[in-house]
Amino acid sequence: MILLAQYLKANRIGLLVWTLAHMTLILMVAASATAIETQTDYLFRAFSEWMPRGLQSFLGLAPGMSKIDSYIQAKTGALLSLTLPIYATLLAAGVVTREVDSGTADFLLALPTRRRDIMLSRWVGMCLNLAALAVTSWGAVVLGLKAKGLTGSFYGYFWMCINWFLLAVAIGSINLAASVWIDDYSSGVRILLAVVVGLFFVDLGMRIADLPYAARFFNPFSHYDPAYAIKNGGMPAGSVLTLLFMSAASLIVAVKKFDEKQIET
Amino acid sequence: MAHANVIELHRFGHLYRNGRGVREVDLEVRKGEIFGFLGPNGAGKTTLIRTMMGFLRPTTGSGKILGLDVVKDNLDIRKRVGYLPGEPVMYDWLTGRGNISLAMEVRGLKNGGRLRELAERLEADLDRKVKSLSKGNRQKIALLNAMVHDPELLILDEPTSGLDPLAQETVRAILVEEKARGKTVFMSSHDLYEVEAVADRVGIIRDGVLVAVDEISNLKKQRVKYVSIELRTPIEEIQLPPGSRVLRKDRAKLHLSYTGEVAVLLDWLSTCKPVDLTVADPPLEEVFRSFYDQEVRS
Repeated sequence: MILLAQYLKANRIGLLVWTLAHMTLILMVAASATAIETQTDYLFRAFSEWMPRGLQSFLGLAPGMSKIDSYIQAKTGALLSLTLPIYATLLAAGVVTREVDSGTADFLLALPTRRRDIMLSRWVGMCLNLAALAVTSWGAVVLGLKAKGLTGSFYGYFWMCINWFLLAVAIGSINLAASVWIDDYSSGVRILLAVVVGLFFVDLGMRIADLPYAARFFNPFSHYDPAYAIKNGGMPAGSVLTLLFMSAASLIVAVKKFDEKQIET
Repeated sequence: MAHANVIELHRFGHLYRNGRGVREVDLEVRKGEIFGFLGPNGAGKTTLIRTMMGFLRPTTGSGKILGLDVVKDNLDIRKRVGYLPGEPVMYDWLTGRGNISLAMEVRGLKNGGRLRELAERLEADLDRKVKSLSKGNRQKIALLNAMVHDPELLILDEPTSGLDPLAQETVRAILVEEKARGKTVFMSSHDLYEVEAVADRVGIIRDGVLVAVDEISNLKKQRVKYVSIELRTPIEEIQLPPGSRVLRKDRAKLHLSYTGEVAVLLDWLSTCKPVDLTVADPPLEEVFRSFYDQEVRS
């Protein structure tokens, strides 16, 4: 608990900045719902007929959704689906790589605490940070729409945020495991962010190519389906289990490898 | 159970992938002594300390600290040891007190321990953020952090690095007092004066190999003598004995270090017919150099 409290305290400014920026952006998007939606609707719909199904769904143009839901999914669900994983990546890189690079790892590891406790407290802290960002994002969507007197599938948006959160936790955990091998913080962040952005575009490319879900299985972004979450108020069980499995497996690797890690000067 | 040896290393070492590191160190540090660990930069002092502390895993041998296995019981060792890293880094966004409080909370200490007393003696600024402190003040905070829980063993990597002379003197005094309180101190340094001033025994490491371990007084007496000799004959005509090295020449006076049998030195002196002569134990620096500078000897 002491280590968790210290971690949350250390990251409070970052969380505040990210939350405020995220909320502001989402509030602006949600509060602009009618204006933008009426202006772009015709163009989007015209193009969407030639789009692959996967891309239609990703951009909020899947059939059977209300215009508001489509808009929210397109503007927040798809476009902002990168922000939470990027935040998760920055948090993950800060756990081992930054502490080793800056030398504060020596301070912690000289104390009578197990390395696994350090790693687990950081992982829980990362999840709490991501949960706070996901929940405030959902709140911003609801507030933004309500401010304009609009209504949408609020319960569905909540599940979209849960899907966001699970995706970010999985990506954060994978990066946490990867970061145990990286001792240089600045290059570590660049590498991990490049991988995350790369995975995002690989998934997008596969969706455009209309490849089946099974072919995209190992990419965490493939288990993010805001259209499904909004329409059904839930997530496919397979996606939930896969993201949870990716998170747990990565965490186990991270703990084991950190336990064995040689902390050089 | 009380152990006579606080540190016991047997063929203990850590080699990096490039082959550098520390090779098969055999070392015992006794309870209640100050052990100085000497060596130039890159000799392996910090690697040995980091391996003892569990930051690195030993690639050879085994080690015990306070009777506990260095690898298996590392958590218990860290409860009873105070450690000062060679380049101490703390959380910049916290004050010195904040960093120490965090460490104390993890150690399960409720009160301030010896913080107030030691901070006053070291004149440490506890209430400024670490990022705004000078190197010397950070070193003081790190020293406090290592000592505040009153550990049985202090493992200090260059404890006076970055401190002003007065603070260095205070640290040395504190270490001697710790020894008087029955604590053991293992300190690395490249400052010979410092080790000479406080340590009971010294270990000298060279290229990852522990080349000597002895009491300071023995080490100084062991082989090297400091000879000042005034001669009638021109210095250039003098044939120096094997194992000697000229330290300084001024007019008719020759200052040299001599390593070898005393009888050989006496024989040589008798042939020189000196006007004046001083034979003394050398400063530790000269002993130290004799381990590193062998090829310079005439």
